[in-house]
Amino acid sequence: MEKLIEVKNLYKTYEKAGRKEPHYVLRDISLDIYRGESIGLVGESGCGKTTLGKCLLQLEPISKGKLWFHGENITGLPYRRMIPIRRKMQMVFQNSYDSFDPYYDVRQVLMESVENCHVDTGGDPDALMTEILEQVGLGGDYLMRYPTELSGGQCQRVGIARALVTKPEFVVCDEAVSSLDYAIRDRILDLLRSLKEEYSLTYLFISHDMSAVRRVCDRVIVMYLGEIVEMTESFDKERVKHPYTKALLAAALGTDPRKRSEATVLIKKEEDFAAPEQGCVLQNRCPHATERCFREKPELKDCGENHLAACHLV
Amino acid sequence: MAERTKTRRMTSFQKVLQRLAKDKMAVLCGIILLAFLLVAIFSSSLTPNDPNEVHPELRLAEPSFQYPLGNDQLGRCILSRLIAGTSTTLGNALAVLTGILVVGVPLGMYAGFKGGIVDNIIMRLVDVLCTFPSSLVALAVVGILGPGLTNIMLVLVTLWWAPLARMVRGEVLQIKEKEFVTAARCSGLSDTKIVFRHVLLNIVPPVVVYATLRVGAIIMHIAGFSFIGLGTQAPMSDWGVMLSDAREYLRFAPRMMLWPGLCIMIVAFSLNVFGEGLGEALKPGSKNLSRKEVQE
Repeated sequence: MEKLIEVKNLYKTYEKAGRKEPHYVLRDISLDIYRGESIGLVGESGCGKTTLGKCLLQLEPISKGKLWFHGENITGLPYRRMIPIRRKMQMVFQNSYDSFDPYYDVRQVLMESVENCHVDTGGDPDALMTEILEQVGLGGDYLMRYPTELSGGQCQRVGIARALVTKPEFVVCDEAVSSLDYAIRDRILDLLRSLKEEYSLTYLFISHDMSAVRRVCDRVIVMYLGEIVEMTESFDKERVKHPYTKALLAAALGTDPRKRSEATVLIKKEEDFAAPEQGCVLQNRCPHATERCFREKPELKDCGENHLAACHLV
Repeated sequence: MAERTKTRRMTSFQKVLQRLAKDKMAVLCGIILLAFLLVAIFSSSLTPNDPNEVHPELRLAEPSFQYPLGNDQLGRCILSRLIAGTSTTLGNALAVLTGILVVGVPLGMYAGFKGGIVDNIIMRLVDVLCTFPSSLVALAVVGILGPGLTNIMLVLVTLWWAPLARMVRGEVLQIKEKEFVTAARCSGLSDTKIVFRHVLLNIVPPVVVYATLRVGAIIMHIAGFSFIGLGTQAPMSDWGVMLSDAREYLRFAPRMMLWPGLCIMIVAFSLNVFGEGLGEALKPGSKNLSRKEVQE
């Protein structure tokens, strides 16, 4: 399969005034994304999922590491050279309402992408925008609406429309369904799936909704405190290897109430959420942590069937 | 395409007017302001008498048919001087306001968006300027450069762009963190375009409110300086000068003080109310109107 995006040893730090040590948000992330696949990115709040998504799209500067798109090194590319690439990678934002300028109506929002990414409209941008809006289940009459005049689900759809209007190849969906009720959630997920078929898209699907991830994604990446701890194609309770992934899945409610086991605590409640200086990132919260875990950092190990896990116990 | 854009711009402008129309108080104040503005523009042809013509025999005269508001200490027509003063007073205030906006908004935006050392320099300058009491600086400047309206106006611009810049910077800092700025970058906009299209658009309502509130204060300040004889110089007519002239005759002819005082008060009040209303109307979807529009 063709590599669409390749990331090598990506670090992202935030400098804080008055503090010498920079704050690591992402540490040593290496990742290949192949054309046409849907990758899920899961992990608890604040583990750097969104930041990783934004770094991949060059919306946040990368502190260290390299990034390739279609085999071309795009790390820190200046604005002008980034435009043709920008067109091919888009994002559906987490808080869809906040991602629209309150003074822009839907037409202006979409037009902005069309104009600045030099999308070929065939001379009639309105027809193109109406077509995209119809594809996400809205109509051309929504072009005149302001964000305040849209419901949460409609906002989300306009957000998807904005990402698709440039005809991208790679789309980062940041919590695309987390703020929606279950009826709309299902419709948006189906929509994303059908759009994927139609435009042969590649998704990075950021979510903390395990069932949504399982429905949409071919491969799942689990992150903890800015590091990838597991990558797997079979994302279910029995087959995952890393203790953190197990805990994450155990915390999600199953669909069948009879099969729900007693709440199993697989993880220690720990006050200290800072990443440890050495050893495994999970050492403070892992119930199986051994002396080796505190000393030595586990590498991502191949466990067969495209399954990688960063744990000494695997 | 161009035509279509035009009609849409019209409708969004109409929407603002529509929202403004809901605020009856703001509309009333807007009409009052418009009336004052018209008077200011056509002041030379509206004055019933020559505002500078002296009539010693009519000194502090009671209102009469020819002089509806009476005469001042030199026998000049109060109504005519009031009308002539409208253009100087409002003109000066608007000139000062323009100066404040031209200096304050770009500096505030630059500081807020760029951050870093430039931000630090601009903001420390703002801190320094904010600590100067305007009347003391005005006295110092007048002492050095001599009395005159231009000097007073310069002092007001030099001091008052600072709080505006600080406010603008705060707004920009807030807007800069909003997701729609990242979204705009994702849509292929450069930083410059983001600043001019999105950031500027979003700071318009608070700036409008601030500016209208400030006009009142500027009029009062120029009037205040004219009152102590540092602003507008005789024989130019100005509401502040009229107030200042009237104070000596307060006991014999209080009406001399009444009219210019009333004008200043009405304009300042109207500006405040209208500014608030306009700022509110500029926000799309405010005042529950959007929901009604959706239902329609």
